Amino acid sequence: MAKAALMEGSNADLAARDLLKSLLSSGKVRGVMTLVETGPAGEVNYELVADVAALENATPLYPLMPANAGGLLSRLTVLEGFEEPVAAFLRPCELRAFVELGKLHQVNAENILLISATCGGVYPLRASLNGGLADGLPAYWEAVANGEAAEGLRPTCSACEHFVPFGADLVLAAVGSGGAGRLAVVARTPRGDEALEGLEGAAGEAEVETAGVKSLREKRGAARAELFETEPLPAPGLEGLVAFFGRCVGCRSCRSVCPICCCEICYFDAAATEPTPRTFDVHLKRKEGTRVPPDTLLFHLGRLTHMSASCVGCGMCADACPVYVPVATLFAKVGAETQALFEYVPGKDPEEEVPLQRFEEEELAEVGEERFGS
Amino acid sequence: MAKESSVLIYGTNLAGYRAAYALCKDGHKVILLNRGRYVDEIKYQALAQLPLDFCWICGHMPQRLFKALGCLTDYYNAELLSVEGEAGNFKVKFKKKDQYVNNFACIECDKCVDVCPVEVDGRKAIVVVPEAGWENIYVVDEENCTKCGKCEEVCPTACIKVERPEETVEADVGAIVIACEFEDPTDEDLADFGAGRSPAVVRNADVAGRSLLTNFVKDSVRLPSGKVPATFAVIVTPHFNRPGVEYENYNLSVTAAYRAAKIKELMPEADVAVFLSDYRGFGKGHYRQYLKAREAGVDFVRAESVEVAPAEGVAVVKYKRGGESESREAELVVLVTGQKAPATMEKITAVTGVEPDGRGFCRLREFSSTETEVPGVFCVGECSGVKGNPETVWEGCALLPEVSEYLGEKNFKPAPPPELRNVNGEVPNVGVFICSCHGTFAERMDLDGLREDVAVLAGVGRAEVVEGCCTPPTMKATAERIKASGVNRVVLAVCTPLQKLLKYRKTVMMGGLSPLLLRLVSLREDVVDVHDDPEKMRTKALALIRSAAEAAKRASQEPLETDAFTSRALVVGGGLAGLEAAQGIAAGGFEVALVERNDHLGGNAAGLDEGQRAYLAELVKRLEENERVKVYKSASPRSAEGYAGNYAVKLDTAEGEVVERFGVVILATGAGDYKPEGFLYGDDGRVMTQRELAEKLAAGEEVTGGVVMVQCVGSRTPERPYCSRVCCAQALENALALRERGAEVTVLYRDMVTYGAEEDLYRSAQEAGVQFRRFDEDAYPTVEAGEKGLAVKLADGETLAAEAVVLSVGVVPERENNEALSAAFGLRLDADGFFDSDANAYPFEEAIKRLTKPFELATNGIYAAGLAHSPRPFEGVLLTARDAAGRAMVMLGKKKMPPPNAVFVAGVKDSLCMGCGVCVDVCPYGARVIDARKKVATVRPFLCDSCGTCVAACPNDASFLRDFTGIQSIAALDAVLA
Repeated sequence: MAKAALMEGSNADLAARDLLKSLLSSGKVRGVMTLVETGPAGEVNYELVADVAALENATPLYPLMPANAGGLLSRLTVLEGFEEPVAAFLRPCELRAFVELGKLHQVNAENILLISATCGGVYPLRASLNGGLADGLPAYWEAVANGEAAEGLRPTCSACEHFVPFGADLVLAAVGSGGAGRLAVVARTPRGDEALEGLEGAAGEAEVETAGVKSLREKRGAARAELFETEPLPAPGLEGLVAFFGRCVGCRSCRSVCPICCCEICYFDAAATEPTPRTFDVHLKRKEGTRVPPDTLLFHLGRLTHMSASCVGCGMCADACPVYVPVATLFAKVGAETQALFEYVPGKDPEEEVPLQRFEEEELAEVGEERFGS
Repeated sequence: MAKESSVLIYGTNLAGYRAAYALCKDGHKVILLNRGRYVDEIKYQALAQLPLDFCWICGHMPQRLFKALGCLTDYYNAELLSVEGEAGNFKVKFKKKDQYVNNFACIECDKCVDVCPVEVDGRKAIVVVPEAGWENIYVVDEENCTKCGKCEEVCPTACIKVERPEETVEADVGAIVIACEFEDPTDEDLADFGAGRSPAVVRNADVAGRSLLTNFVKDSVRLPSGKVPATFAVIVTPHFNRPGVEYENYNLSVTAAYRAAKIKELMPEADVAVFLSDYRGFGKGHYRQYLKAREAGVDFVRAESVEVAPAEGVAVVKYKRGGESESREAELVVLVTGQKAPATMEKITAVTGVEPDGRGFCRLREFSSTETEVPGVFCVGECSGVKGNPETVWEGCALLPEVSEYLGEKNFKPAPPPELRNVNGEVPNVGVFICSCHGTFAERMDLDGLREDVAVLAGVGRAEVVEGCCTPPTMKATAERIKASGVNRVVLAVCTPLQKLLKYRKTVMMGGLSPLLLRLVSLREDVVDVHDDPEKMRTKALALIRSAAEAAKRASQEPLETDAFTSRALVVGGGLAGLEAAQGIAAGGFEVALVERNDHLGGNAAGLDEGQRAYLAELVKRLEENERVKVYKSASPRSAEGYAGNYAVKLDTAEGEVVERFGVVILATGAGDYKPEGFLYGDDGRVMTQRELAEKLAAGEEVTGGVVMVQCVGSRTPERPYCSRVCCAQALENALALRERGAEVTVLYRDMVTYGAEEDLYRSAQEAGVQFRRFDEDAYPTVEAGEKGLAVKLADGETLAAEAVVLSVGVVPERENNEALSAAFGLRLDADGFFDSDANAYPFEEAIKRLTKPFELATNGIYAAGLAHSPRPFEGVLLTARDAAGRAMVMLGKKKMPPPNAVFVAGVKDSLCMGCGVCVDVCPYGARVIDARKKVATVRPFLCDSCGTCVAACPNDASFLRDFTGIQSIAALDAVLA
């Protein structure tokens, strides 16, 4: 059991908002980064809020992810850290992205109080069109409180096994909180302890790993296996991949919403990679033909190579795809295999190097042997 | 009279080459006298002993470079005639005869051989020297040559003259360096070992020579009968030869272990025995080599005597071990041979007045690493005594601080590079220049047809056939044609880029273009010499040129980056090594800061003899008076930032924190004595270390009665698998002193690690009646306090009574201190905890590889010297200190340091870099940092070796090699396949 505060609130979102309010009003933080409702029909966005009154519209756990907050927080702090304490409310996968980016030197975590929650998942962004989410919210919160899997979530959310955050200072025990109306905020670090001190209701102790968490983890595991089996993933080999990405319009949205793809300017956008007439000339001489513009597959494979080891499975990429390529599922599946290969869980341990960064003169010999013989 | 600046080097041993290199780099002109007809005709130690299966002759590439630059003049068939004058102003006279075939201008077309009418033994009177692997050297067989002049007529570059008169040359020099070569023992000298009498007996150098280009394979040891032997005996001959015939250096024990291990590695089932009296490899890595060989199953036989009787098909090795005669058959006997005194010694004495030592080697002035007793006359390398291969190399650079006091103002400065045209913004316009190799290529293929094909390639603005671009006139002519054509990218279709690269780069630079805009095609190796069908040749040549042109088109000009270089050195440690290094650098005219953690200079002087103490005291005095040296006592470096030429070091000093800037850093922090455990040491006053005994003796304390010495206490053990060597010499000196006082002395030892002068010490001790008894590494004697005295129990149950037990303890590194300095300065530690450095690379297999490399590649400007680098005796410490000082001086003289690879370094596209730091982690040279302000990676050009690791690691293609970008490579590949 760890130090905890018990927050009043009929659901986790309200409890989270109260927590942020009291942190801001007590002066423990100068600002708060959280989701805020910005439109009448369930439009939400991340905002950096400095005024308690403005937090009235805050909805930290609203089940939508307009952007991966880990990536946003990295862009805010990449050159230098906050001068004054700021609280940031991140979902577990956003937090993991933040930690991954830290390893790539894209983050300055100074003065950030990291708050997270056990996560019930989010809906695809298009589910919120025309206020389409509002009616379903009570059922969603009930499912979260009972450790049930809500229906209609992002596919990668339904299949997410890392919905308990790894390293936050404070964790709101949202999943499996029951219907009691009091939710526990558990301190995980000295900074978390300090934040809770003197807060209303900050006397008790509580656990993040509720019975609901355990039951949800089982359900998610089963859903994950099913997703990888039923979702139309590419058949092995080049032809399968060509077919899978056949709809791709080359808008690069998947890349721009990906928190791990952190290059300011991508190689694929550089003038140097612009195909020249000669490129086509060469293709024409050697192949039946070539896609125009070329390199669609190279782009996706390039991304897979560079960031599948760090993919946190947030699902932003699939949500952003205008032509519904289930790219997040592919990344989650390939990511799972890559990560298993390096025994690596992205965003878990800030001290552990990203496999891409670890330079070994010899590695993965066994993979080569398995595939190609010794 | 003003002192002369030039230096004469007589002889061509490796240290002589290194000295020439260091002097040229430091700005002094050098005259090199080669008694042979061509480079390396007379073998020097590293080549003659060939400890390894490669030769690295191309390490002499700088010789050619300096020759081309104009600071080195070498004479062949040369001999020193007379020396007059004194240090600083010698007048030397020597004779020389130029090479019949001027190596520098020869294009190796073979026409001379074709036309030569003389045939002897199936060859002509002009032949290619078979031994030199790195280029074809043509020599004239003077005996059989009829001087008909046909070769001279046919030579397209006019590099042959059948008449080369012998000439006498006079020169004024400030100093003379004797660098005469190694003397191999003859078969007669090795008669006891069957040398030359049977194919079953070979020398290790022959085995190594055979495996030079093929690596070590079964053929390297195959017998003339075609059989691959199954039983081997490797014999270290000087251990068993008659006295005075040949001398050993410690390389030999290590070489024997290396060879035996190699054989076992190749043929695990083979039976391999090494015969030696003692294993004498010491220090870094050498004992490990022994362990490695033993682990591989090599049988080490420590014999008292060995003889070889060659018989039919097999050789019989007869030997004595522990007084018993034994014998063993071997199908192949490999002799690891030593060296004789230099044959040139008599001549050297007659001309220069330098006297030989007792063994016939050049005698050096006491405590000098290179200077003889004749002021201004130096001797480097194997000529001044037996020493390991690394030591022969170190002396080349160690010469610099010692010689500089005799030399006048520097008289050489390389000419500034030609002015380069700025081609940025111009549409790429490729000029292809096809070399006809003085018309020889045109005989093999249709060069004009090729030129026509090339001229119509896209982007090629000019295609021409040129005479050549590897001899000075053809380089100039081609450069002029490049300039006149107005092209801004160049493809040279030539030959042998590895050997002639610098000439090609120079040619385009003389043509006004950056060498980054050049692409090379190996027309000779890839086309002319490997095909016969003219059509195929034309097609292939066109494909290669097309490919090169595509890459050239995409080449871009980048500015030559240089780094400022702080002409100031930091020496950490005020002991012998630090003082000597600081003194040497200051004598070279540079400022030095010396940091010593204690409140006095001089380090740990305990155990030094009177002469050594006096030398040290004099050194301290001279240093404290030297205005160029700033001494910080009770101070130590806390942290360091930067890289070669630009270190900012924070020093904790008595006056508080000081930050100073330095160009190079020398770590000379010393080492400690091993503190023995067991043997009653510390519990019984009669048990002491050798150093403690020496102090007692010096203080006049009486030690009589029986004294037992135990060697290798804490050395060559699993915890410290290395040998310090100094303890054996210390024990011998103490034992002799004790014998003089009438004490009985028994030395219990595993191996007596003595060579050179210590060999004499060992013999004196034996003659003086010191008893020597060997024990095994797993059976150390034990010491017990008895009724009257001490009892030393041996493994065989025998007990020796002793009044005193003296423990020989080795040198141990100050690990904690070394680790802190290693972290601060980024100089790695070796497995034993001593500093490792490129300058003083140690295990000899490393040394030859790393030290003879052509340039100061990617050095970080940090050198280790003295005991901090490795355990060594007094003179050895001085040598490492002077080597470090010499290397530092070469660099300190430069105000600006261009990157070692000039423009060929890696770069970063700022816009693509997100500062993830992957390249920083993977760079093996520490050449990358993340710019704190911009958060992008930057390159330290001076450290970059352009290996390309960063390019491979960068996830966003932000890293690139300036002459080898991905775009160039893809285009080149596409073009060659098109």
